Amino acid sequence: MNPPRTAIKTKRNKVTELWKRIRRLLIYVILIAVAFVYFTPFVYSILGSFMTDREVRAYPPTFLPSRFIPGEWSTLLDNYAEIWRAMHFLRWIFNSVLIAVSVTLANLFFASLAGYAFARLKFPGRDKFFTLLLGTMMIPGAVTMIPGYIIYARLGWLDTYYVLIIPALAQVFNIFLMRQFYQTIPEDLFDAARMDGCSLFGIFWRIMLPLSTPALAALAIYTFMGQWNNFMGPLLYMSDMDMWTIPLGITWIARETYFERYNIVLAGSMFNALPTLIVFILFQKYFIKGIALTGLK
Amino acid sequence: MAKVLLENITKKFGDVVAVDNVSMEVKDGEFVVLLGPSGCGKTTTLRLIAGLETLTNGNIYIGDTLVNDLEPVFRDTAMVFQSYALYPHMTVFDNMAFPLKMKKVLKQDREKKVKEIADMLNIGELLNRKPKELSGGQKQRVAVGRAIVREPKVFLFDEPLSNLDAKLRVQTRIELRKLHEELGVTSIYVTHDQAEAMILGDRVAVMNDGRIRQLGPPQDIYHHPTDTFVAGFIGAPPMNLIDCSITKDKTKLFLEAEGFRTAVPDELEDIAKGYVGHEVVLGIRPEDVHDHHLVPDALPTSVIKTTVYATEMLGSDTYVHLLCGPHRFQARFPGIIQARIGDETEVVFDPTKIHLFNKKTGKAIV
Repeated sequence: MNPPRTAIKTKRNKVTELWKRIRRLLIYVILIAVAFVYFTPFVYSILGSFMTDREVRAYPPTFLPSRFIPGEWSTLLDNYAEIWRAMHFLRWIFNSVLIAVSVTLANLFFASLAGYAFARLKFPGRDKFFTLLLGTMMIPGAVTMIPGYIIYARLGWLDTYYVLIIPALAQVFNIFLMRQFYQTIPEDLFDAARMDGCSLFGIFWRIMLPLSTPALAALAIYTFMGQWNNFMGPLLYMSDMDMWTIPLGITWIARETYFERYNIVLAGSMFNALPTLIVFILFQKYFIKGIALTGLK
Repeated sequence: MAKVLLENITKKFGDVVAVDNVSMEVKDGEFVVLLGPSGCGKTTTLRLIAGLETLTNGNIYIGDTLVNDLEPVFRDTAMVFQSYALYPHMTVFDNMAFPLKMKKVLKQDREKKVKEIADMLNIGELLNRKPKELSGGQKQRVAVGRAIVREPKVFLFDEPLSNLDAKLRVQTRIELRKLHEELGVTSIYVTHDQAEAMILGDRVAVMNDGRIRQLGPPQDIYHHPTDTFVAGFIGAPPMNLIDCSITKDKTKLFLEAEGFRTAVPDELEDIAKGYVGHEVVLGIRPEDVHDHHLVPDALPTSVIKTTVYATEMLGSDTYVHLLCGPHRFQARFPGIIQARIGDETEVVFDPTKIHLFNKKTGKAIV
């Protein structure tokens, strides 16, 4: 034994221990700061959705809505009620749900089938066709906006559900996502199923699909959110108020007056965010897997 | 059960010839092992038989049926994959019952059959588990079980033991052999492990570069390799191969190389005569190299002077690496040998065990 050396060792250990703590503290401070930056607008949106016109545009800004004071509780939900009472609101919810759900279901169906074909089936020109498909993703949306409008107009699709549903039925990114996922499923499983007597569709249905739930969940979440929040599409193609979706409707309600009514916009946004929030909480696990899966976002 | 006949089969992937004009007959109930280094075409041959790859050329018969254009399922073969390829989302029971379900076998018959096979393989307890809850050895059994359940005409094994640890591998290969004797189903087995091949195969086909180099019973392949590739591939450690030439000194023939000279045994003289002045490869297995002290009656002309380069003591045997001029070869001496590096020692080759190969073609002369 050598006592002095042990002493030095413990001292050094203490120093590294201290360093570790300082580092952890620093990491937490940074994380909290970043979380604060991201979280504040969201919290302020919630608070703002309960404020009156005057409060929401006050300077210096107020943070606590007066309606939170116990005596004022009867007026607490006034902003929300106003949106709810807006003449077309139920119809807009219906439109939003119809479009988002049908597009999501269609993408689950088409993207999983197309992804399977690109990942596992052998057919002439497969890889070239796939590259071409990916190439379409590189075209900015602004470029196709006007030609797209003209095409839809000539088809007579303006102010119909077709214009928002049919072009979105099979999205390239989703096909790409599914193909990449299927490629991670070992080829031996595919071969084993072939030997066990599965048809090509049987392999898809009985082996590939059950194994791809994380990818399908991610696909469903992203597609649903994308459609639900879609503002540009309805704005371009729908002039009939009955065909509007929630995001477009909320903007309209808020602009009925001479000035933008931010409290109404915020309340409407809360309405709009609710399904996304619920989906997120329910599928949080898949969300994270989905992010890992795409390697994006 | 059925025989399998390969007639001049060839498989090309683009310009690469994976299987090159292979012909072979596997008899009904026989266990044939395809043995070779990685990339030699053995797995491709197996996949061609299974129908997972399409032939470029040639014919494959299973039983009396030409199966070239038959889908895998109609060939009535079952395959055990190296990765086991168990369906991760299904229980062990569902995995094993899956091929029966595809065949539309009635549910109660499926259950009966799966239970029967599971009991046979001692996996009856595991039927409700998912593959990820199984150990490697258990997964392997399930994979075998899934193949047996179908009662195929031919079993195809693609390196089924290579993912097991060494101890389990030794155990399992004996069980596979016993299973084969019990079921008597024609089996084709791919491996790169020559010990597995020797133990399992009724016959072994040694493959290299897409061709079968030698096909025969394991003992034949071990004792009478037809070329230097087979000689160098089979055996652990493999056969010593020494480049030399045959020279004539008065009436005696010698195998000679730099720093190395030994008399051609009388048994080989007749054949060696034709190769005087030619380059040959001498082959001798480590166990056929003997310490001169233990064979004092050996011909003085056949004694080889060597220096000890290294020793490997294994308890039962000692492998001694010997240097003789620029040539290095191994000897396997029984028991523990106290030899130090640099020691000079004299050895003799068992004259009845010497192999000669043509250096140009690699083919065996003797």
